[in-house]
Amino acid sequence: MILWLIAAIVLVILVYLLWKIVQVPSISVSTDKSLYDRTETVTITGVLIDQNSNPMEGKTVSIAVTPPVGDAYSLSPVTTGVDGGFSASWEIPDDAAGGTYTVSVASLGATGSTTFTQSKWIIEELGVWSAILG
Amino acid sequence: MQLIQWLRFFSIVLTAIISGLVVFMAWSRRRHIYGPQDWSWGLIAFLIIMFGVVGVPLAMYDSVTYDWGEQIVSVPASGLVLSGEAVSFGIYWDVTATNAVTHIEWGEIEVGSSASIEIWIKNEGPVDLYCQAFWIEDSWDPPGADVFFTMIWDFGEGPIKPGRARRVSVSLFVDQDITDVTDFYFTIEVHGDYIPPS
Repeated sequence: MILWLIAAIVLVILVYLLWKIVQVPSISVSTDKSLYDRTETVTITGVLIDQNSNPMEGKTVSIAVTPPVGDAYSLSPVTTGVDGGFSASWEIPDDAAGGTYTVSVASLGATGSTTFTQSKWIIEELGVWSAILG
Repeated sequence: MQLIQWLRFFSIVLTAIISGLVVFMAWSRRRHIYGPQDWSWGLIAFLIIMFGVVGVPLAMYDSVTYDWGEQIVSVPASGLVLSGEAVSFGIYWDVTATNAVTHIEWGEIEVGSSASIEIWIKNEGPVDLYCQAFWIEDSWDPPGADVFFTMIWDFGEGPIKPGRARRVSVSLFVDQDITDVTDFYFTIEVHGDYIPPS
């Protein structure tokens, strides 16, 4: 009888822990603007929360910026504050390709992403079209 | 998982089993349920399994949530030294370089066709990086099966600049004439260098 009781308790604990395992934290990310120029600084902010929506402090967040062409830029990892928030900045190189850039973040198995546009692409496209059209 | 992560995993499972046994022993003696004369190997085995069943999910939960800080990289790498600075790189499944590639599962490949994967190589050193991949011939199981396979490593143009990451595709082709090979295993070695491959 005692052993069956223990087995039942163990089963309940097992189910609870398995439920906890499938629950991963979630991370959100955004940039301060959606349109940038070359050499401008992109400010990246976000929040890391656990499965109960509580902020997660002191966790490492990895950040990468993927340009429309070429290799991705790996930013230095940042640490979340007491409110689960994190912040990073990245200066767009003066030879950066125009187009849509993707900011990817990851921490403790949670991933998030957002995009922004480097406006030189639009200006260059307009320049090409204006040259074609005379 | 790295060795240190496995050690942490098994130490949690072991701790759960030992502490569970001790607590159960103390509790059952106090309640006069199981005296020393009642302990049998069957009972001990049952308790070890029970507390192990608790310990394994605990360790799994810990491995998911524990923040290891800096990524531990154990990718085979070799190269030349430039002014005392060696090439350094990591191979990951994601652009944020959080999931290191430790094993590639090619899955089922039809005869005469191929399978492809995409990985990210991050230049973690101070110099430009070129990478090439080779399989270790002696690692093939079954031995000699490598003659029926072709691996294509598409590194792309130019070097990976320091602090940047590149998506690289790796494809494995299976020869139409393959015989007597149903499953296979081999090891890929990735060599990094600051000099372009000749």
